[in-house]
Amino acid sequence: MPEPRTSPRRFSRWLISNIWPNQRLRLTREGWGYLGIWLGLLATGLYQQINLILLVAGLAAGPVAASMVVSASMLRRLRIGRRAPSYAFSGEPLAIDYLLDNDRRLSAALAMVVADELIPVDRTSGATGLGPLVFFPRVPVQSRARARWQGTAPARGRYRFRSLELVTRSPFGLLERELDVPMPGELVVYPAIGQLARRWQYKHREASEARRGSRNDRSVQQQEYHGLRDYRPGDSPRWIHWRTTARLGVPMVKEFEQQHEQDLAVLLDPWLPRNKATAEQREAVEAAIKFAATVCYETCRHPGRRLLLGWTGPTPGLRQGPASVKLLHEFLEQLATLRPSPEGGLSDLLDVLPPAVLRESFLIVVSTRPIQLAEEAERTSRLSQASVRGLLGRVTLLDASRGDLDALIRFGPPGSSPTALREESDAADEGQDEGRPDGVPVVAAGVEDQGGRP
Amino acid sequence: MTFSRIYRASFYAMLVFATLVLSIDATDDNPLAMLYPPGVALAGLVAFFTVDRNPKLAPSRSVASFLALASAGLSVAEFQYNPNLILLATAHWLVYLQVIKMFLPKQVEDDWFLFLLGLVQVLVGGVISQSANVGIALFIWALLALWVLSLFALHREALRLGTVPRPAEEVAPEAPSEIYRGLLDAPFFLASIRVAATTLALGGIIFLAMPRRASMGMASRGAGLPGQHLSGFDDEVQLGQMGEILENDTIVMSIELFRGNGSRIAPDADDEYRWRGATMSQYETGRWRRQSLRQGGNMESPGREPDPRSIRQTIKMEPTDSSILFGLRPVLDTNSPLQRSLPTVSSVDGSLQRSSNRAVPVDYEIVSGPDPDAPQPGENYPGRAYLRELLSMPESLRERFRALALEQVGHIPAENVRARAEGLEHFLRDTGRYTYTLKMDRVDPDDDPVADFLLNRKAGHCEYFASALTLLLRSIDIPARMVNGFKGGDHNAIAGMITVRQKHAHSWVEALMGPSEEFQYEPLWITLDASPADQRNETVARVGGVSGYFRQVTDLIRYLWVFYVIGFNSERQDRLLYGPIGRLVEDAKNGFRIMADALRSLLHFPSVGSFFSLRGFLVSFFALLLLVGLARLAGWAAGRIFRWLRGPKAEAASLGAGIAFHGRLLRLLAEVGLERPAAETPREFARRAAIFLSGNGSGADAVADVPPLVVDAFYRVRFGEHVLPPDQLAHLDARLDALEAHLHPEAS
Repeated sequence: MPEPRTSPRRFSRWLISNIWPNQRLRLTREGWGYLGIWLGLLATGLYQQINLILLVAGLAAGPVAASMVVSASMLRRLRIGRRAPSYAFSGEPLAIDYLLDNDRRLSAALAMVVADELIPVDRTSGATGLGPLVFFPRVPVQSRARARWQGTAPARGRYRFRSLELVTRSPFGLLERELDVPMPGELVVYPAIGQLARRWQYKHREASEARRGSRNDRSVQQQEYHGLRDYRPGDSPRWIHWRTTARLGVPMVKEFEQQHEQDLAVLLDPWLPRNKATAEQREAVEAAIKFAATVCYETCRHPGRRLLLGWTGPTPGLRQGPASVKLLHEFLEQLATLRPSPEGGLSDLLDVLPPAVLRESFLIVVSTRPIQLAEEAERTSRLSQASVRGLLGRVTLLDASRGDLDALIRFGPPGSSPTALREESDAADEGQDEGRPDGVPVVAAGVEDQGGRP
Repeated sequence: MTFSRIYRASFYAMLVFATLVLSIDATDDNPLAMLYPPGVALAGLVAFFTVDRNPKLAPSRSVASFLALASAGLSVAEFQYNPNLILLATAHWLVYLQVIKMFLPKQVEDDWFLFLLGLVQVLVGGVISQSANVGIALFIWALLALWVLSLFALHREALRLGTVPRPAEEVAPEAPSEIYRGLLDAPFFLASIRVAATTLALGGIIFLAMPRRASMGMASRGAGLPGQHLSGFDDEVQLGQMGEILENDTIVMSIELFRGNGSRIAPDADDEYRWRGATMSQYETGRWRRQSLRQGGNMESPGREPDPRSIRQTIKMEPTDSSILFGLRPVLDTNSPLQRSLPTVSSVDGSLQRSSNRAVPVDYEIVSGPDPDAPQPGENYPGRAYLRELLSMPESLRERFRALALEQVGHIPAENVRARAEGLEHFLRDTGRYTYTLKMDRVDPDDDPVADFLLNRKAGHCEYFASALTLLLRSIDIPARMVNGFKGGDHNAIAGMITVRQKHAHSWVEALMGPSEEFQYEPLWITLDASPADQRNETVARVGGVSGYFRQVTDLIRYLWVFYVIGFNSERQDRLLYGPIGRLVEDAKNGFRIMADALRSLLHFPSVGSFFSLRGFLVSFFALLLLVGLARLAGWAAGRIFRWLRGPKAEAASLGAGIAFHGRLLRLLAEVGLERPAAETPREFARRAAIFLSGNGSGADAVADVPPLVVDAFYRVRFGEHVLPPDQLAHLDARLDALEAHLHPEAS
């Protein structure tokens, strides 16, 4: 919930930000050493009463004094910007672009450092932040440079960018001046998306067809041909369309559309004991969330079905809609911020499911604890005995704490996350490029460096 | 040339100058000292082309350690050769270490070490000597050090941040220092000059503001400025000795001239001020001695308004080993703003002296009367003994000189002393028989030098002319003394002062005219100068060589160096810095006090009746005006704060979630060119949009109801403060989906 603007906390923050200087000046390590030597010089000059030594001491104080003045001028007429994606997948490469505009007419910007900080909104989640740091060796006058920081996206969750810091040690490296530029931003780190193993495909199909009671021999190849697509790791070699593959030089596979597929409901039970939760239990929660995210992702790739994501907790929640990229983002965002809970159970969730889902949909229940499904179903007041039997026939129950998911999903190396989403995201980022005055060249930074804050 | 090469070359140049500061004035102690700077330069050159390009060529650590030990042995040997030079020997060891370090691969720490070695050499150089040569070398070193420090900072930043590996490196990674491509352009040099100027200016201010002791600049420790010896100003002067300094171009003093009313006197090239120094009274075969009596005392301030025609001289005298001070005669008042002891005026001959002869810069002020022939206040009438000295001369010369003198002025009555004296002056100066020269040939070496000049050679410099005139005057019983001082000087238009050099040294004669009736019977001396002025001026102009504007600049730099760097002490600091600041603060305090008093008197009404007056009306009028202004200002500020606290965005933020559907409708319609002008209400706009959609054909009727529907809901939320139930929101979203699908069929 957004904080009201009139809150005393916000007002005091505004007051402090307006009164408190947005620049900080501090001595560097070399600066401290230099200061020590200077004090020695001064003491020698005063003790020995030799003006020439005092002159050297005075001149030696010049760089420190000038650094205070000159470093401030070095930060003038510089603008910095950040171009960060609105979301990323945990464990996948994360690229953030930083822009430095030098509007000065005479002097280039030299050895500028932009320091950023990405911190988790929910500090109790245990997620750690990031400290992107980029270096702009030289930005000529009236031009812009761009440097890209690349790292690995942190654990799932919602993250907040703090203000950017433009740091200079010019001109002598004795003092460091930091300019705070308020630039709030947000990044949602989705759970990592894996690849469903073929075993899951078979299991899912078996369950689906068992429910229908016929067409047991129906194979994927017998589904309706839909089109061609790029080969993805995990695709059956049988699906490869050899003629097109030969023509294009890249493996292409046939894509089939499963007609008359049932609506799907993914019910997640991220249970974790209130106290003394083990590392394995925590891993099980994460595995369950990743699996749910992957199933949602796979389902949303094929429009036509309705998809529901429900989760247990003190207040069970659900989201649903026709499978689409938009819905997928909603699901992934929800999964990104989902917290494990010791409260609530599956029966509570079943209570809030729409009747159509209870009646028709195929249900995948992913839990982190052993669940007696029949008991849970019977506990709900909305299902009759017959309905419970029907429901149990449409449910696939997976217990992450037992390792049920291990054989059903696998995770590739970094970079193998959903390309479609990433491309879409990149395109969106390109579209939101800042307006730039005509005639101002875009200059790539001498380097596009990245590095973590030590 | 790449950045790293320029950085390294600059570093070595800085080290060369650091060694130069150390060695430039050390040649007196060690003749080999001047070989060190070229040696360091050569080492830098070799290291630049070998080790810095290919670190594999560097000697091993063990070899370097051995060389360091060997260099220590070399320094010990130097110390044993001359135990007085322990400081120089230690500094030379630093030079050896520096050279060894130059041939090793360098990390950031090594560069700092080299920088420190250079700094220590500069400090030792400053302790050994504080001459202007050291100052020039130190200034260049400081400039180079600033340049190197700025490049060093870039170098460190490149090493610190420029080497982070890149994930998709397609080109070979460049050296960290080479990432500043295109750095060394004109703007960079301009910026560097600006930074250097700022740094030096701030450094200079800090230097001037540093706490000082009164004794600083007195060369109490260290070598200090070498005090110059003024030949011709000793107690005993060999005739012709002054010729040595007449060919010397060294500065003796810098003088600023002011009138009694404080206005500055712009010296003219034709002005020939005589800066009077020592008087000589005893002559014996080519030697002059000062009088034996030396009583002196401080001048009593006249305590009256200075004569506007008087001349105040602010004199800064460079360090000399003499206690004699110089000034225009007659001295009316003396002042020493910096030194604790005032210059004293001798009661015997009216000459100026200081209490010691320490070689330190001396500042003093003299106020002189406009008439150089007026009696000197405080100078006693010559006593019998002194009068005897003033008439004494070798008996062997008396008759010859008397004959010559009477030949020239015998026709003038003996009572007319002034006419006789001036006649002799005219004889030597204007008849053309005697010429001015610095050549010291003797025609008859056995004869007295003055007699040889007067009777045989008939050519000499001012000392001969003055000696001859003095003895001629004495031969006809006119008491006379020779005065040594300076005449004229170089006018420095930049600094507005006169620079007096040794070559301006001059001798002239003072003849006693008896007690002055006009000046309360004080002794009346007239000044007689027998030297041909034109010839002397030509000779003086030939000495030196460098002249013109450049000379003025160098004089000014030397002036600043001597008096505001080396000779800067607490007294000068007070006068230059803290005194004016204190006065400024005092003036400001006084100003505020006056303002407060004025305001208090303005607002003071002793009775109620006094308020009803014109003053009361004006006070109340302006008070009310001020009150209104303050009230308006407070209202404006309160309004700003209130608006901020309420904030337009606050409203939107609280409602944003509830009326998001309305925003979506506006965006959708804007995409097809339908926008609500400010004069149109949302409902009117919805009606217009519905008409637009219904006339659009191809199924648009089905979505024509969306705008009124959405706006109705918007009104309920925005103005009715209703909260729409979820099913109604879902319905609105569905209708907007339909509208979007209709407007963008390709997207759907």
